[in-house]
Amino acid sequence: MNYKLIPYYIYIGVMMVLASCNSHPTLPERYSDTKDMPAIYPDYTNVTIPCNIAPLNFMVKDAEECVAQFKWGSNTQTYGKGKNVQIPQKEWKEILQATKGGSIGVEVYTRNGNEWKRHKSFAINVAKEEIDPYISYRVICPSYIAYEMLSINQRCLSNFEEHVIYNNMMVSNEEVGQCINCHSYQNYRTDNMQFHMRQGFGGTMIVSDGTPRKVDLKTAETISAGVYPSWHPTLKLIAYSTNLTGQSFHTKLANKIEVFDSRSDLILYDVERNQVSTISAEENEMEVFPWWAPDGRTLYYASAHFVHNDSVAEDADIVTRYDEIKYNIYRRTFHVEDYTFSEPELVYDASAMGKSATLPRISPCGRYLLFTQGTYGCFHIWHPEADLYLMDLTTGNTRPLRRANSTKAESYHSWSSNGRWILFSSRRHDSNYTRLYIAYMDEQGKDHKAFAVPQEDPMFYQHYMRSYNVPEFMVEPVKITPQEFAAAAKKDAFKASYIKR
Amino acid sequence: MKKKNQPTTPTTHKNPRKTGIQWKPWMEVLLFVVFAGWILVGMNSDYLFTVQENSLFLASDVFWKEMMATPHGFICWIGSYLTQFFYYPAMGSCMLILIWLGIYAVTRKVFNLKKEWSYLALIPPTAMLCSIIGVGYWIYYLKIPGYWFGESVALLLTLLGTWGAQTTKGWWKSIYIGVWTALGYPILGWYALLGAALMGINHLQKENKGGSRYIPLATAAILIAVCPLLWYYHYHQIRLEDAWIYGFPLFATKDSISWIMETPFLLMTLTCLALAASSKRLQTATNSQSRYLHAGCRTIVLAGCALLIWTTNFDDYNYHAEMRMYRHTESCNWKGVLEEAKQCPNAPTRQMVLMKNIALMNTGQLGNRMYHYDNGGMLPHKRDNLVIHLVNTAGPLLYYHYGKLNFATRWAIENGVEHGFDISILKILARSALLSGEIESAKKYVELLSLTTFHKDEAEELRLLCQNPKLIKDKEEFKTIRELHAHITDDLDSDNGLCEMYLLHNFSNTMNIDSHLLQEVTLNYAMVSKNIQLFWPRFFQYATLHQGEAMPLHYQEAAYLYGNLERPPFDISKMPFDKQQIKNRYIQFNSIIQHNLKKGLKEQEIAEILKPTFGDTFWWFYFFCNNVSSY
Repeated sequence: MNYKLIPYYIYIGVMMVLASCNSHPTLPERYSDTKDMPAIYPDYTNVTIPCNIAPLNFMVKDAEECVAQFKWGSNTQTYGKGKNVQIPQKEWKEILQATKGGSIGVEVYTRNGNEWKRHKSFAINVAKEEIDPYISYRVICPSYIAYEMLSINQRCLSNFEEHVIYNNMMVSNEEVGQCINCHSYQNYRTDNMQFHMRQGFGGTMIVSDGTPRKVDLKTAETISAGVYPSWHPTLKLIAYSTNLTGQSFHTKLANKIEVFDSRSDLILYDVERNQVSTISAEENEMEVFPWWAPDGRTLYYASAHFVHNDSVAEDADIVTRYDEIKYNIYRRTFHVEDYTFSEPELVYDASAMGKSATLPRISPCGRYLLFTQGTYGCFHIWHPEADLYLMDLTTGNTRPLRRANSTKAESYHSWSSNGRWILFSSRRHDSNYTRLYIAYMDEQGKDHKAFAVPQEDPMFYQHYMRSYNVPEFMVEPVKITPQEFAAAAKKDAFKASYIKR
Repeated sequence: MKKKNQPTTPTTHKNPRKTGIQWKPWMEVLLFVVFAGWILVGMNSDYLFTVQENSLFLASDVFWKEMMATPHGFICWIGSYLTQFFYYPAMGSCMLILIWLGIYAVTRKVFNLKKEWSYLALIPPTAMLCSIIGVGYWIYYLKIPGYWFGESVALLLTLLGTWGAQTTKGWWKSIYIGVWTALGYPILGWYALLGAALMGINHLQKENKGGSRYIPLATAAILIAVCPLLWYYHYHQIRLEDAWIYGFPLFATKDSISWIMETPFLLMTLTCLALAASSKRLQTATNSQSRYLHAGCRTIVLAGCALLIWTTNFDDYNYHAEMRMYRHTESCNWKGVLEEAKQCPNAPTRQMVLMKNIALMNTGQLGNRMYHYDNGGMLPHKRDNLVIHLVNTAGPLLYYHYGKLNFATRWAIENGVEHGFDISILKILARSALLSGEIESAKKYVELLSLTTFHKDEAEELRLLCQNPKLIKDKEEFKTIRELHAHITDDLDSDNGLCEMYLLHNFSNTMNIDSHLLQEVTLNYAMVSKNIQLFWPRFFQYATLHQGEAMPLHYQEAAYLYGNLERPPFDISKMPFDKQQIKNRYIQFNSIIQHNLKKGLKEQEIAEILKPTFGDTFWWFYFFCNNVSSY
């Protein structure tokens, strides 16, 4: 053997490997045309996407092989290997840059047996507006009571990188379990943020100016610690609901679970003074899901009027009358001088229509109110009829997001910092596993068809056995490491004090 | 130098006595293989099949990444892959035994065990065998993916790594230990640390002189202390305090912790460390020991191993019968379920009773055969403080067959979240979703099943149903479930983790005349509840729905008994009770009770007297089947 040739062999080998990684298949020479759209998964047909999103990799169901031809301007490129269409990130970025404000045409050819078919082409519209580079969410098995391995993760939307912000297994063991939930940021930035931990090492993790510390927000005057949070956009204040939450199980209905509050109020937490005060604790009102308007002068929230039946235990009363609980959307003006609030003002009367509206979120421009509406209750992710609705606060006109919604449950949503994108959770894929979807909201407030947050492996959502919830946009990643959070979680919580305003 | 340090082979072994059979290492190996094969295949086939049903390996990127998210992840992945082969218990057992033979051979090589001491190399495989056959009800609670193969593979790799260290010298030895520990930890977890310790100790035994002989051991000690700490900052799913033991099997639930289950691993660890620490002594000792002493030690160790295996083997009859019945129930082999119930030599567990009742329901024999079987209930046998719940061992399957598909789904997911998803859970989830009309959900579970190695056919069968849901109606195995599911009403409810109590309370309080099947189930559960007020309305419903048909014997027995115990709101003398089977027999039953009560016999004694003759009646169940423990 001529050993001097070894480097050449290695070079040729490496080049062959690189070539196979980045190969562009050729289009079939013979095929028949079909008017059917290709059955691609996830469905990215005719969607509008941001110009800085990761490649929309997909696979074609019911095909043995496929080739997709992407066309933009005078350019074309083909992708496809087996049933999958996976686009290299570098090439995808170039395509998006070239098509900003325009669209990409996609023609998919599929093969079954020896027969190739060319399907009806579809477009991928590329918006001029970027999307916030990061999102965060909790991943959890769609369980009922049991939980294990919960984590709050952050994902870069421009690529497929996902990192753990905090995982409950860093402090949990068999004897001491910990549930984590409801993360929230101040104005899309991560130096001021928070999330909750319940049971083992329980408390609320407050990050203030980049320093984490655990606090206990339960006081004698409030019904629970803080639950659903909203950071004030400029001040170190967090509005929370306090809730007594229960759940029960449907013996037959596909909804499967009802999660309900038997009581709930609103509180304000002053991060710097470590003080809690009451925002709203009306008798026979269950206030929940506070959300600050972008100017920080108004607090929106949902509230249900519910009079408990004195002759029945509260929990039993709720279980038997769960479908009578209907939430409306209210707002209160915030007085920044003394941290007090005005009387409530009804914004959206869902109960008058026999509906229940929750999770009010105001667009960054302040014009639109986005909320979830179902038939009853506050936990709409288990209600298939739940949809996203948009109210124009200047006119009061309200309408469902017909293009973004599906026949399955849509729920928790958030606006991107530029107001052009919404991120929400939906069970449209298989009814049980919540996935994250993004939809474009144009300047006229019109919604566009939603698309699943792209994954490197097109079959990822089929194979992944966890749900995503509480999706939030961020303009920067969380910089504190999971280990730092774990160390802070193990410390004793600072007890908040109550102040009457 | 090397030759000087090597022990000389005693001459006695070069010239063995010609009388008698000289013991050879292959004999102990043969003994171990035969014994292990018999214990595994002969005594534990049903258990091993259940092992693969309660495990999961998916040929997907997601599964790989989830496994690799913790130290020891590769071992879990490879262990999960190999565990699938217990689908054919003999094949899986052969693979496992081959790994153990590898452990034996490498143990001898690593610790340089001469044939006089070769039997000591059988202790680690014995410990591994014990760790498999002593699992018991932990099979439903163990959270370590691929446990059944993973631990043996990890030990084999550890020993091979230790063997590899022997090929290095001087500083290379320390570098080898460093690389092994740093790179081995994510693959092997705790076993990499054990390997480092073995390498250090082994080196100390081999080198006689000089302070430098301590360097590898010191290196190992430092790396054992530091490596897990450094890797802790890479992983996001482990506690800092667990970093040094990650991969060492822990048997813990939120209610219980078992040290007994960890004994095999402690034995294996201590044996390896002891062999490493005494390898030099074992070499020199062979020169002076008499062959009788060796024979004695060998006999004690081999007998000890055999005794350990025998006593560790979890051979509780009901434990194995439950697994066989579960398999029959899952495949709707009702004949198999009933045969198993009939053969049970002692009191069955509640799980067995419920499965037997499901089989009777599906074969239309509830009214005539239910009390021909033992309806008592023995608590599952256990050796530690493990808290066993029926809802964890068979809850989803029981709910599924009673048409409670939401509850089947709920507990399949709860069990999966708490103790790991597995094949049996995926099957229940897919079928429940299919029968609930949640086709997209079913497709997901079917897709996952298709990623396994031995369940692709079942996945394909279910996939066809997903593609054409109309075919579901024609499937005989779904008939009963569909009928029960169609007629149950929706309520908000919870079983509070007590599956049997929920079924008893729910069915015995249900009134339904739209489904003959559901109505009969409600009547049966009213009888099981021994509640006379619940019985009568359901009895009359049954009679109305089955006019012109013979009234099953057990229902007659209950009606006749209750009619005699309490004054019913009607005249039972006009009811057409079977004279021979009911009236005469009841008189006989009652007179024996009265006679024995007069004799002063206790209830339990009377129960035993009556059981051979009347143990097949509702009367015996009503009076003597008491204190049944649900769990």
